Amino acid sequence: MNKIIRNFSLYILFQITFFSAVCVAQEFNPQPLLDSVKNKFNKVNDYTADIKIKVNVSFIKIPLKEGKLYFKKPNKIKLISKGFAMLPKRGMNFTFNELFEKKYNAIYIKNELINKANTYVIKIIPLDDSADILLATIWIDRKTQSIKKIDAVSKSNGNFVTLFAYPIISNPFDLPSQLTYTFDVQKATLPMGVTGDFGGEKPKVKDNKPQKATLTISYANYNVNKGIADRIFIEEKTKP
Amino acid sequence: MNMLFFNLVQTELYKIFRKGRSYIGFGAIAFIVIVIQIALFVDGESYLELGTQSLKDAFTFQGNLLNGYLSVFIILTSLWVHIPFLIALVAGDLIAGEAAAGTLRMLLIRPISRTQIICAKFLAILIYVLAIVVFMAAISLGTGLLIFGEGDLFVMKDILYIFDSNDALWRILASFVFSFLSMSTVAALAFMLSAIVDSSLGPIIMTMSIIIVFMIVSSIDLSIFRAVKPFMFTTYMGAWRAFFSDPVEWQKIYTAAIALTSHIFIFLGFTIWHFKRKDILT
Repeated sequence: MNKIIRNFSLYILFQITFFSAVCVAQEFNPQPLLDSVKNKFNKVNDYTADIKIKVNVSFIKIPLKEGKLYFKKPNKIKLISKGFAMLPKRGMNFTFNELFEKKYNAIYIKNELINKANTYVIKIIPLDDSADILLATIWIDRKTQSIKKIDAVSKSNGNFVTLFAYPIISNPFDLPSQLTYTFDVQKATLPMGVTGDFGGEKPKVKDNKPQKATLTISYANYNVNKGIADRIFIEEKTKP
Repeated sequence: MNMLFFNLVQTELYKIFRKGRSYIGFGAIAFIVIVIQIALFVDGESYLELGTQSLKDAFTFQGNLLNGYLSVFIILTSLWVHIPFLIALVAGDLIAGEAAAGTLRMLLIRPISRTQIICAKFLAILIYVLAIVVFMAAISLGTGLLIFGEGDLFVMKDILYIFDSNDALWRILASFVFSFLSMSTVAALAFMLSAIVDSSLGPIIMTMSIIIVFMIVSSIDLSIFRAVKPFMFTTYMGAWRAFFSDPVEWQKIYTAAIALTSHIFIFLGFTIWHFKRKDILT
């Protein structure tokens, strides 16, 4: 009899704990957390950093590239590197201000562990029809209140995932030490006359389906809010 | 003996470079290279668009891909099929031309063996091929770097390769060295045919026909052709492109180099064998 009462009590206790957690989750307002993250980024007016870019796409072979990255609010980006370099079209300023610049709904979903960090998982639903991003999920570290991951679906680029890594010794602006982007790219089919492959060799990749691209950018030697002249960002006429 | 041989080589070189047709190759290469460079300068971006348009949705590009190294690569891609014809024009005339002109008998009264005569003529044609390849390398690299400057090399193969500028030059030079081997094979073929036929036009047309047929067979991917491809020297002539892979496809290069060298020795061996038995009195 005692055993039954004890099991029943444990069951009631579990139910109370579980439903309380669910209620707390539903009631958790993610907006102050997002504001805090945004405010942190807003403190960064400009920065320079030494970066290393590693591109991993099945149909592109490009060596590791190094360069100096210049950023100035709101979205001026310039990379000065020796030779040719490829940067992701989206997310280079890692503030993702395009997510928050128009009206959106933020919904707290759950907690999740990412690289041993306990994170809040928050869905962002842009309300503006003209917004390129249709839906985004953000993982924010509960302890440091820094973004750990963003998974966005956009009209122009499809699915786009960004993983954030931070230095062991955190900087006052919480700037990342590494970003890893994963997104879809379309493979170009090239005519034989262009490739010059008249030997009749079969191409290794035959299909034209979109393939996953991973691009890793490592950041070092940040110089934040030191002022950057606008002329740095003036594009010279460059060929593709 | 050796002195006599080198005198003979010198004489053969003099004979080659005395003829106006020997300069057609240089002129044609210079003309085509300059035309391609101008075309790239005017419309090079559309060439790059072919390989990069799908990437532009996802990436932004920093830096210039239209540079001297790319222009040299495009020239190599465009010309490696056509340069053999210019080589055949000279190599095909080397023995047959003398036979037709009747100077072969005079040559053979000298105190030197027929084998040495063939070797001297072949060495002379190899020097001519080397001059053509060096000229092509110099003019394409020179004008390319002058017009477009240095930069990373963008290569469109089954996948896209981008090589650092300091990793590009040796690949380009190595591919020119390989081109010398390919063109020497063509020269050896034309030279062999030149020993068989007595009219100078015949070997030239025959060499061109063989290369055209082999190239067509090489480019059509049918199982019946696949079986004969390994035996056609044209299959190996495009192996210079293996230098533009990462990592370099050394196995492919070695195989091609061995196959082409074997062809050269077979063609030269047959030429010597045939020339030694050639009746020059009739």
